[in-house]
Amino acid sequence: MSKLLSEVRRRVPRASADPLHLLAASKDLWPRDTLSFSQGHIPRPPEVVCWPESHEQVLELLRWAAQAGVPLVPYGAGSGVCGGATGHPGTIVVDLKRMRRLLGVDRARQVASAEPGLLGQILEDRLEGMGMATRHSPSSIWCSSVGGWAAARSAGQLSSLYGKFEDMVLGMRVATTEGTRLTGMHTAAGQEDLGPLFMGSEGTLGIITQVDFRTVPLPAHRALRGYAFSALEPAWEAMRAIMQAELWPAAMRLYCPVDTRIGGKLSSEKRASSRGLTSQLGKAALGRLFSAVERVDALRHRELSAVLALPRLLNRLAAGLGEQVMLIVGWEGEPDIVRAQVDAAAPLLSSGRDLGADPGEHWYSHRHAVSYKLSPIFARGAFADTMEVATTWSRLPGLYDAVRAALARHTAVMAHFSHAYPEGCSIYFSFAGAGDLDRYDATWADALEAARRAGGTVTHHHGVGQLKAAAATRELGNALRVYHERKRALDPAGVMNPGRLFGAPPAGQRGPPPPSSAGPLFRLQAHDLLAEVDPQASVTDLEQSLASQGYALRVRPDRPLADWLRAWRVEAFDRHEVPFFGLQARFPDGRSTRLGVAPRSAAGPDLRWGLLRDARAELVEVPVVPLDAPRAAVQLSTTDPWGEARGLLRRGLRPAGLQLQGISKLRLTLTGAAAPGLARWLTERHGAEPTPAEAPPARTPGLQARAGGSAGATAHHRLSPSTSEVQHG
Amino acid sequence: MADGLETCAYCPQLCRHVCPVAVATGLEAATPAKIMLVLLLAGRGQLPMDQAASAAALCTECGACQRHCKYQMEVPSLLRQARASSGSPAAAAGLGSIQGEGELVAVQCDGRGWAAGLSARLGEPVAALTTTDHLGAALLDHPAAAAAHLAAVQALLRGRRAITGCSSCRSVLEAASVDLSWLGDLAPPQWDGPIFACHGQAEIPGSAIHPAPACCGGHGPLARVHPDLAAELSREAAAAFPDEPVAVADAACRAALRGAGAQVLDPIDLLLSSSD
Repeated sequence: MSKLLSEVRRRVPRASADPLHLLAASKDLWPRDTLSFSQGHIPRPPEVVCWPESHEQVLELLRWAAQAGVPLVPYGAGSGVCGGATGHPGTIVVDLKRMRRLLGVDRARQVASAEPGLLGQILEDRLEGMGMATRHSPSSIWCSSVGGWAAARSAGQLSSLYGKFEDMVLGMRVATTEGTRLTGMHTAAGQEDLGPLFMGSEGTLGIITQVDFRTVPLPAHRALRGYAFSALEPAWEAMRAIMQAELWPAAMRLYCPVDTRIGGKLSSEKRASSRGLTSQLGKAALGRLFSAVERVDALRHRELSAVLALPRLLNRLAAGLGEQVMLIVGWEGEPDIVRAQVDAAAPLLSSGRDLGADPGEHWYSHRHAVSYKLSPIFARGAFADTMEVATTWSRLPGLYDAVRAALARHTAVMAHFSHAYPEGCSIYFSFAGAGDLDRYDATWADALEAARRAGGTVTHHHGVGQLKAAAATRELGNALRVYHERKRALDPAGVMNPGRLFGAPPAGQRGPPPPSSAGPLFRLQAHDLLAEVDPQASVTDLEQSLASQGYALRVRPDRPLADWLRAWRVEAFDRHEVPFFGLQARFPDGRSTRLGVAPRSAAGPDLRWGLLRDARAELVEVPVVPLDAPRAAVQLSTTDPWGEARGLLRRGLRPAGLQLQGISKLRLTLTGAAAPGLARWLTERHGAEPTPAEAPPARTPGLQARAGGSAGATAHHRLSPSTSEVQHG
Repeated sequence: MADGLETCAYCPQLCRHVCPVAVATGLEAATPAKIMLVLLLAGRGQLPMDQAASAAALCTECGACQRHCKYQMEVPSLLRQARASSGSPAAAAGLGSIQGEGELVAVQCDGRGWAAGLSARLGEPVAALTTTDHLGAALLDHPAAAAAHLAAVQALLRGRRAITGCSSCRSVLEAASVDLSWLGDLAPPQWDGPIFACHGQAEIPGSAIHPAPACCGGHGPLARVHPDLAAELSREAAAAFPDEPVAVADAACRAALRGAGAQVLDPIDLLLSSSD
């Protein structure tokens, strides 16, 4: 036995240097590695693999590794697609799959706690047996783990309602070389909540050993439908309208024309429009590629290679297939809430043609099986991969065109749009190419640069690993100082997953200049419902400036934004709401940085929270709502207002405001297109009483009230940072 | 075979959560995809065959991966082929002889004699064939070596019907094309408690199968080649019945679960003691 293995076993008894285990730990699901294997290359393995069974074992191992200077690579289920979890020479792989207990379940509070190595589907099966669910439903749920979800900021297919996994996490326990750190609801008073830092850190700061997360009751009802649109643009508008009307569909997926046609999603249209040589040629070629890959035995190596060797021709043929697209949209949860949302969404979908429930149900029943298409492609010497980017609605078309064009130079490409937010959306590209590692690398280099230039984040939920380390470093710029400062404190020996996530912070960048226009409202981006504002300004001044433009803050602070955001805490209640979007701040040495190019990102940790502490905020981008957006307010009398509020949130209601009034009254402010219907439901089914909404901020004289709004019935919801969703009235 | 290996080896591990070996042991090397990757590389001459043999034995042959797979990849069969080509067959213990008279032959594999009890229960003579290695079930991994053995099994039982309550013995009897009865089919035992059944093979008619444990590790090459890992599956399965006895139809499963501390009831006893 080697000395290294012996040392590891003193801390973690289950450890091995068996070549089988070393080989297994040297590969995750990065397609580059799979391509490399398929071409006969075997990576050089790590030195040891160990399987800790407790937080204490992990802690002991990390302390020793720091003293000995031995690098560690945390490994969950190895489902990462960016090469973030692969062991390599000189490293010890810490496989967490023996830490796979469901530690606790609280059905009343709808909270659960798990160890990091618990596989996603096993977690869901166990919760389902208790009438519960996370509804975090990543396509990788069969092969990914809870710890990986947190460490790489995973997103599930139902994120438009339930949020990404990072939004579900209420607290974590993390082992670092410097000791245990508790996050979220476990954070000690006065301490920085390191939760946003550990989530997305991909094992470079510590090892997550426990995750506490919210759950929901199993949804009682689901309503999924498909809609055909003439082109992408009207479908994008429908998605944006639904999200900005606060209708919170669980699923909303728009397929590009190629995916719509090749995937057979509009089968009747396909038959009707398959006249014309271009269309027929395109269908033949693409059909061989995208459909035949599932006929494992029938597809021959040369057939696939021949098709993929000509990506530009292939993509031109695909363009001839027409512009029609299909949108799947659906709601789930409490039947009455779903009904109110579906009814309110109907006019927003009127430019599409209703295809009925079948497309949505078909997608739902196959939603975890799409990855089966990958292996036959690799088995025939080609490669397939995916890239998920995100940005605001304004920049979405440009981002789509730019990345698609970059990928299309090297590969056959198609895309879908999902993970929608009021401010923007993610794009998920799927592409396949023939060739070797050089072509693979060139494809990614071009696509990542295109995403950056078009103003998108280079990753929405796949994380960074090795693949996107350079691109994420460029994207975050000077903000990386926030990460590196905490890295020096949490991992001073630099032994945690070295070489992954980020490179060195860029030197010599001054960063963006201070805002040049006069505040407090610097710029309004009405299309995205975002406003760039002065975070030091008083809330009253800010509201008046926004009101003069016909808008109000969606989340209303009770003090200047800079102070309010610094005090924001994740409580054990919920965290659907991220109260700001972009942030520009200046460090004491005069350098500056700007974060926030997309509603969500997985380009490492969310550094905005740390940036608020380390630098002076000079511009914050906040969500806004039109003053004339439908609003309603009701009041519930209850002996357990907190429990009642939690129950409503867990059942899919997303009120803009929740206020406790006295000790037995709960006031709910509802905004968005479904607000009247939801208020009616609360009144009829829950005994709530309609109540007048708060007065809107004063409009600037001379502005006309907007038509169609509920003028005079505006209520801003007031959120206290210390209670997350609820303010004691 | 190479085609199947590649499809699995490059798969994003979509069946890993249903593999009882991978889940219970936590070993990345035990997922079907990683096993197939090792076999693929060994087939290309890039890894030694002893590693391939070790990897191919990380299986209980439960078939959960195949049932889950969209392509229904025949993983257990592919691993069996791999084991046949990467290692030598274990020597069979010998078949012995049939004791007693009767058309029915009770195949007794767990150290117990139950032929007489069954005879009394059925009211007809039941002979006994005792085996210590499940009729040489390990030979099934090696088709060439197994052919003569299976012929001997067939000759031994010619003209008679075998009765077994063990999945491993049943697999040999089926491979030898012997007329066969499953013990539990003869008469449902009187038992309303939980029943453990591996692989959906060892069901007891008339009773619900406990849904929780997928596999106890008592069968297949894992138990023979990696008994320490098989014991981890047994402990995992036994933990599902912490406070109550469980009826286990299969002899090998019974032994595995008993070894892991479960209170195991033998349906043979239930059957023989039932009054109808």
